[in-house]
Amino acid sequence: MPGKKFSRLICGCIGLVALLTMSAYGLHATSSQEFCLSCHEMSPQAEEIRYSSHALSADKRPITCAECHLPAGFGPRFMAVKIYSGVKDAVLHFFLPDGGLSRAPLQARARRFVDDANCLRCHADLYKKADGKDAVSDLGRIAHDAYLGKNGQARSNCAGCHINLAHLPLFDRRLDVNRKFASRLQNKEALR
Amino acid sequence: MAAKKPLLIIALLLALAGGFYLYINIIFPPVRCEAAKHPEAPEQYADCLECHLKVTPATAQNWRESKHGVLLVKCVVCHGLPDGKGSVPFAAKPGVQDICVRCHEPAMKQMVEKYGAELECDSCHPHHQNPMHRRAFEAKKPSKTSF
Ligand code: HEC
Ligand code: HEC
Ligand code: HEC
Ligand code: HEC
Ligand code: HEC
Ligand code: HEC
Ligand code: HEC
Ligand code: HEC
Repeated sequence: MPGKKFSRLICGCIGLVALLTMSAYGLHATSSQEFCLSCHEMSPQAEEIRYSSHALSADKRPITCAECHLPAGFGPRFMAVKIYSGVKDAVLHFFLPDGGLSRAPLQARARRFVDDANCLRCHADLYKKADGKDAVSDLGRIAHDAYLGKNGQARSNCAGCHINLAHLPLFDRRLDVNRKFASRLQNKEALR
Repeated sequence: MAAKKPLLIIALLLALAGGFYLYINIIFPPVRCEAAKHPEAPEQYADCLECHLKVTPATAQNWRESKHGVLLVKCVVCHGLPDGKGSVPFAAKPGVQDICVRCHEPAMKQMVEKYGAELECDSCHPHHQNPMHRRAFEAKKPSKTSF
């Protein structure tokens, strides 16, 4: 009896290691830009980002989807988001009727799952403007104090206040904060 | 013994799914901070809109474009002053029976007669979602206080 248990244990361990190495490869592959864009549902978002302030990083390299939408590294946070959104995206891709994507509820979910640490990797100093040189405006200073808990306590994460950083559906184009982004998208009405 | 095994496996899977659900709700909570507190900036309180067009852009602009905004029913009338100094106590979700009733008593009576005893105005008139132009039944979009 104990021998059988032992061999099962060994088999389990080998299986686990094999699974992990395979999934490490799989995790890399399924976090790439090409993979995200292999689904037609994701193409308006990818098109919009080219006209946003987040088209290019500070060193003039296109910013990838994963840099904002997946937590960095291969830790438990990354795994959790990967499993949750991977399974949901894949299932809904095959079962959702065409044109069944309504972007308003997607926004709320996306805002919730964009990790603040991702923003902070590129915007380390919250008291500087995005270019990293000038000080942020007065309102920005108060709001970031609230975010950090130094003056009151904000409810939102980064993406909750800074909406439409990278994507701009038609229904949000009227907002004042999006005026610049919207004007760049002006003749692109076909994008939804 | 044999009959118990599938049960055990199902229980294990359920526990795993439950654990995963709990974990993802802890690391990415629906609301980042429940115990929100308004930042203190008394010299700016005269113009809630200016700051809020940056920190809650959709909410603030929806107010401005709604009947309340056009007729200048200001933020403080419903929400009170963040430092609690005004006559209306500060609230992120103004109560129907303490705030709305002040101006809408006739409408509320009418609502109750027409639609029953439901006094959750929010379910039909999404407050900050541009109820101008009588789009009373427009699909409700999630807000920061109600995902
Ligand atoms: C199998 C096709 C497919 C692939 C590949 C795919 N997506 Fe999606 N994605 C979808 C579908 C379908 C939805 C809509 C899901 C829904 O309605 O909840 C979606 C929704 C989203 C959302 C909205 C927020 C949410 O959680 O629902 C985000 C963000 C997103 N995808 C990011 C990505 C990223 C980043 C990648 C690459 C790692 C990716 N997607 C790859 C099909 C896909
Ligand atoms: C600069 C960071 C950033 C990058 C890069 C980025 N996103 Fe997003 N994305 C966001 C944020 C923030 C949201 C939340 C909704 C909003 O405020 O616009 C979002 C929302 C979404 C949504 C759901 C809402 C909508 O507008 O449809 C999808 C789908 C999505 N992203 C897919 C992608 C894909 C695909 C890519 C890669 C081409 C990508 N994102 C790149 C930050 C980013
Ligand atoms: C890969 C690096 C990178 C990531 C990740 C990133 N940003 Fe940016 N961000 C930039 C660059 C580059 C600019 C443009 C700077 C400039 O114009 O000089 C910018 C500009 C901005 C601006 C000012 C322009 C505007 O549209 O208002 C804000 C606000 C901002 N980012 C917030 C965020 C938030 C919030 C996140 C997380 C969802 C984020 N960023 C993620 C690189 C990044
Ligand atoms: C409570 C709302 C709030 C939160 C949360 C918040 N910000 Fe801001 N942020 C603001 C406001 C308001 C400004 C000033 C905008 C302006 O002056 O136009 C600002 C300005 C900025 C700027 C400079 C934009 C420019 O004009 O160049 C960056 C970069 C930025 N925020 C990044 C972040 C990042 C990263 C996070 C998350 C760690 C974050 N913010 C969280 C409200 C917020
Ligand atoms: C200097 C900027 C600033 C000014 C001025 C300002 N607020 Fe705010 N307010 C904020 C920030 C930052 C938050 C947190 C937003 C978040 O968590 O997303 C906030 C949140 C709120 C909330 C939501 C609270 C919650 O618990 O979610 C209400 C209601 C509110 N403000 C009302 C007002 C009113 C009324 C005034 C005018 C008397 C006002 N604010 C003036 C910055 C400001
Ligand atoms: C007619 C009364 C009324 C007026 C006027 C009003 N609000 Fe509200 N507000 C509400 C109610 C009711 C809620 C709760 C709705 C919810 O949580 O869905 C709310 C929620 C909010 C929230 C939290 C929810 C979110 O979307 O972030 C903020 C922030 C806010 N209001 C800011 C303001 C500001 C700023 C003004 C003035 C420009 C204003 N309100 C004017 C009734 C009002
Ligand atoms: C200071 C007075 C005042 C308060 C307090 C107030 N309102 Fe109003 N409300 C108005 C006025 C004025 C109008 C415009 C009436 C009209 O057009 O006939 C209005 C219109 C409305 C409408 C109709 C909008 C439309 O599209 O026809 C709704 C719904 C409404 N209010 C809901 C509320 C709710 C819910 C509250 C409580 C959170 C509230 N109001 C608090 C003054 C107020
Ligand atoms: C069951 C959905 C429903 C609920 C709940 C509801 N309303 Fe209404 N309300 C409507 C509809 C539909 C209309 C437009 C037609 C009408 O007058 O019946 C309306 C119209 C109004 C108007 C404009 C009336 C006019 O004559 O211009 C006001 C003000 C109003 N509602 C306030 C409220 C308030 C305050 C509450 C919460 C106590 C509330 N409503 C709850 C559905 C609802």
